[in-house]
Amino acid sequence: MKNKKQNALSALTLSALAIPSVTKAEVAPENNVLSYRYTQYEEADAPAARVVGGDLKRFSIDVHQFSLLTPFRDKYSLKTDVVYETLSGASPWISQENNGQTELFMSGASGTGIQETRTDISLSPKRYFKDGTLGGTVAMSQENDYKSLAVGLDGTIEMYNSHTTLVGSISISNDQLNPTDAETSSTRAAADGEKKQSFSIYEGVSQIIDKYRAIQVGFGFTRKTGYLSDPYKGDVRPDRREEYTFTTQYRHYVRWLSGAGFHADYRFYDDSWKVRSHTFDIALWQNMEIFGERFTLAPNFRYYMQNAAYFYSVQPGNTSEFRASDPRLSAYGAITIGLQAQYHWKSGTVTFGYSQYQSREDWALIDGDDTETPGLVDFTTVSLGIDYRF
Amino acid sequence: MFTHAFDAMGTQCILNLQGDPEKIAHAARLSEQEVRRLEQKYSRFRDDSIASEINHQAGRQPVAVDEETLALLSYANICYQQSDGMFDITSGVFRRIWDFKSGRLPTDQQIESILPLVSWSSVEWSEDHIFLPQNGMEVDFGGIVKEFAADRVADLCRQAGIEHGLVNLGGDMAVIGPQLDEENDHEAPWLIGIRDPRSPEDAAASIPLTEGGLATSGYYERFMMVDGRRYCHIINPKTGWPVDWCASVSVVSSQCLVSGSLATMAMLKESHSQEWLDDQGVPYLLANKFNEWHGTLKPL
Repeated sequence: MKNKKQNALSALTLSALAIPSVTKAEVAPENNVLSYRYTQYEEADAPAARVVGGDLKRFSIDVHQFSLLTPFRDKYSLKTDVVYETLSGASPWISQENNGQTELFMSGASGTGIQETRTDISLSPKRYFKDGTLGGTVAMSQENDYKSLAVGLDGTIEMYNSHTTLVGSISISNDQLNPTDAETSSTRAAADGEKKQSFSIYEGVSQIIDKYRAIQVGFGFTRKTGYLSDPYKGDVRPDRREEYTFTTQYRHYVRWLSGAGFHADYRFYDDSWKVRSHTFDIALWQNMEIFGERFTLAPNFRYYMQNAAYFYSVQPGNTSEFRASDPRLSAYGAITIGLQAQYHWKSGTVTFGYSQYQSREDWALIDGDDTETPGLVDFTTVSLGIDYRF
Repeated sequence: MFTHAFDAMGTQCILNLQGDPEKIAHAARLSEQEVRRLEQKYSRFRDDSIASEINHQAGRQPVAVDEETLALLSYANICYQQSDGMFDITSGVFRRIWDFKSGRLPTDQQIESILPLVSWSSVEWSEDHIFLPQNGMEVDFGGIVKEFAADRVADLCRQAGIEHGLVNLGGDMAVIGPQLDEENDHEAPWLIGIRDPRSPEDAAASIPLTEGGLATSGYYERFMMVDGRRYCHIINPKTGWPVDWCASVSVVSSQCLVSGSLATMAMLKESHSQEWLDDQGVPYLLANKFNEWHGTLKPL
């Protein structure tokens, strides 16, 4: 008995320490956050041996993103995003078979490649409740040959002391095409003034397993209707596409250096064009302190594989009802390797990012076919960004 | 020094914070939110609290509990075991017969009728639910939640980058870190006044504290005098009668929660309290009803 009493202090202390630390519900931001990010996207040149016409140089895109997050009246925030893109280069629009090897025509005569700009503006207000959030988005996008308007609603509900969060969103968009030089080809002329609509819904649940682990699973459905072809590629695609996605995201916190987050994500995709894909993504977000300064290094690796749409062919005839030679509808696999480095200070973060994307026909591994896809691209992105809180 | 004061958990909550004003403002806000969250979740005065839900379903059906509540119940269970059943979170039902504003003592019959409802050992609880087997039973987190909240707030403040500060939730103290002097170059302990049980507005002693938590249990907090005798709010769950040996017990340990439980257990130990606290090897300061002071905490 005496012994047991002597243990009261240690027994209570141990038990008190076992009480879990609380996860906070999503709270309204307190600071304005102003962000700017510059990204340069550079496609590798098409292989010269396989280009029969046009320019070897493919797309290069410069992206400027501005974002401002403004909290107001304690329970609200407004996020304003502006994206300005300039795109130049050529993209393949016809491939043909010659002596057993497929060849590419690059669009745009040499030296007079495509020059385009795109501007996106979106406004996303959000309301923070005690056990959740409700947000909306209105987005407009304009290119010289394309206009898009989208609206969406999203929300979260936190349950069981914020250990479980239900996530949901719904959005619709309406796009209109006005291809440049519509008079130069029948497919472009046919696309002029065409519209497409999309409807998307996502439902997910995220669960905190314990102090160190969390998982989110979700199901998404998108239905696209209208003109879904690419007027520059001579494709004729079905006017309806239904897409299903299943995603899981796993987070594991480890105590390396100043703490690190291990991310492992998987996404399954299946659609009514018989395209099925798998995406595996792993990343490590490693925090560290060097001479009292805080840094984060985040290497990541992604593997993507898909099979071809049922109407894909590298050199489509014009007898079948639907046809497409767009490499994004072919069977291929892709690997992305990237690294982000961040420096944090009291009121902000500077981020540098680099990633390299490579795709190959034979990396599809499963459901691969022998069809060649000379139009597959490799690209590199370099980005530099700054987030400032005030 | 920045002071953030607010009323919650039926008492005054005061945060003394030093350091970067931006971090302080953030920490103060998070802290108040956290105290209010815990109050809302565990207060028996609120119909939407988990405590009310458990009590409402007494004798009817089990109630699902989350991880945090389970951990608090496990903690209360350890308290029960370590105090040989004296620290019992089902003893809140004595409130029905002990009305300290009435100036009247309950009858023996009333006490006999309540005693069977005070029975932590009969409570069925597991990893995901709790069930009070008899209609009329209650659990009361009041004896642990304020102390727990003080620890939690100190943790939150440290996470928010506060290194110097003191959390005071109605006398339950948790140190975030030692205080800085005016020139911000020397660390000094926080000085905690211990109420004089005979004159609770005055300090009988001043305790220096640089870390951990300090809690005090006293017979002056809620009580009534009947025929010249004092009846206080700490009630022996075996007899149904208030304790009356200790006037005040203060304990210091690594956590305010543990200090508070040890102080209350000591009160329940009556004349054995001093010996029991000595056995714990924990710094304490005890005043008995004859105003004799004992303990290992050295007042300044």
